[in-house]
Amino acid sequence: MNDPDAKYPTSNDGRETADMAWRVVSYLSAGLLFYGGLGWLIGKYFGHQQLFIAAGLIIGIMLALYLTYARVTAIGRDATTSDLRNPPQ
Amino acid sequence: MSILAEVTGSLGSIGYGLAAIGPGIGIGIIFGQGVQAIARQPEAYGVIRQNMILGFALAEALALIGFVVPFVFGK
Amino acid sequence: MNFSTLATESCHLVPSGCGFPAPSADIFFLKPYATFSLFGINFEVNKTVILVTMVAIIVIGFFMAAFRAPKIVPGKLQSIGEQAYLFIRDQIAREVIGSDGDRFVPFLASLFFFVWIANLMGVIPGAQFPVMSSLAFPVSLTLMVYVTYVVIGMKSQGPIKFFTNAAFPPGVPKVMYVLLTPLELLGLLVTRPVTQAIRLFANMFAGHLLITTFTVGAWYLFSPSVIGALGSVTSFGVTVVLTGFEMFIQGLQAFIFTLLTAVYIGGSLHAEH
Repeated sequence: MNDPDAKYPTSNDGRETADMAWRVVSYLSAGLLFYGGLGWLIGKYFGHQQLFIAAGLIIGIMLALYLTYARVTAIGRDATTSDLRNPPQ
Repeated sequence: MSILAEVTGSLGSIGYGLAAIGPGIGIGIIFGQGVQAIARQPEAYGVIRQNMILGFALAEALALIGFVVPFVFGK
Repeated sequence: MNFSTLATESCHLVPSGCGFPAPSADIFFLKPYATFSLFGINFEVNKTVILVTMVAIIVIGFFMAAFRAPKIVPGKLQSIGEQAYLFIRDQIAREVIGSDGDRFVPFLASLFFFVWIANLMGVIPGAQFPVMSSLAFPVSLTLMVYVTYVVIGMKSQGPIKFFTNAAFPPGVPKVMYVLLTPLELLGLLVTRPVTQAIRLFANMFAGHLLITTFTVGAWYLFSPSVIGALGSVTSFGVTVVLTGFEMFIQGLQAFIFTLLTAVYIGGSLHAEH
């Protein structure tokens, strides 16, 4: 997928960037939905619904951002210029 | 004390509209500078792309929070 | 709000000073011409149904006429049809999926031209209702795409491996898998089709509402006075500009819908690294 001898970005790289950008939006909304929903469920049974929904939303955002970081650095590990810092394991 | 000015109606929509200004500008700056950086040094494409996507994710998170909050905390 | 009563009420700004009859979501529910009931379900035939039938006939008829008797040296209709087909094959399928996407080009071309001509109905005088602004149509197209990419993924990667390949991001400590896997699976199965449908629907809905608002404004401000002339002419000018912008958005949304379909099919065919 990533040609190690390519010195310039190819159209494959453009597609990968756009693909990754849409995945970011989907991870963020999925994190908000899922953990916000979990917070709402917990709030329904234990009271203080707004606190749990807010906590769920924040945790969802944090986890979605961590997942984005994990996916982006995993792609970066295949690319050429970061091979020196993150040698493939 | 009498009310001098009042905003009624769908405050959530106004809130989301205001919340979308910042991330819109931010994402524009991120990708604009990213494309400029790639144009200056195409070999560094991998590193630039990583940081572009991370910056975009952080800015987009704020826009999505602004979208959800009126539903959760509104009346 | 019924436009025939609007015209007969003669509610302009200057003589009567009644409030601006702003179009709301009501303008998307059209009067039915005929209703019938089948197995207990009520069906209505209104302008949307007639328009979507016309769009289907136009798209099918054009491609059938273009490729009915193909010659090596193409005539005019066949060369237009060939350019349309090759546009989808080169710009969308080969760019995104690669060369094994050739067998999906008929599906992608049908999607693109159906969505585009259906959107165009929003600016053609007489019809003036973008078919895709009615939520049922983007949802049904997205359901087709959803079933396609899930089934293709399960066929080409194995039924369980399709989900596990997508669900476990590499380079993450194993403890975090419990927290992150729901996000990945939700993103794959729920967010993708929902955002695809809502993107098309919301763009067409908003565009139609905008054009209608400025047209009603041009009519409402119309009166033989200074504010009438200025306001009405400006409003009509903005309507013309917005119609041009809307035509661009219609083509763009059809392209994005087809591009996303190709991306999802490509992601199902080639497993994530």
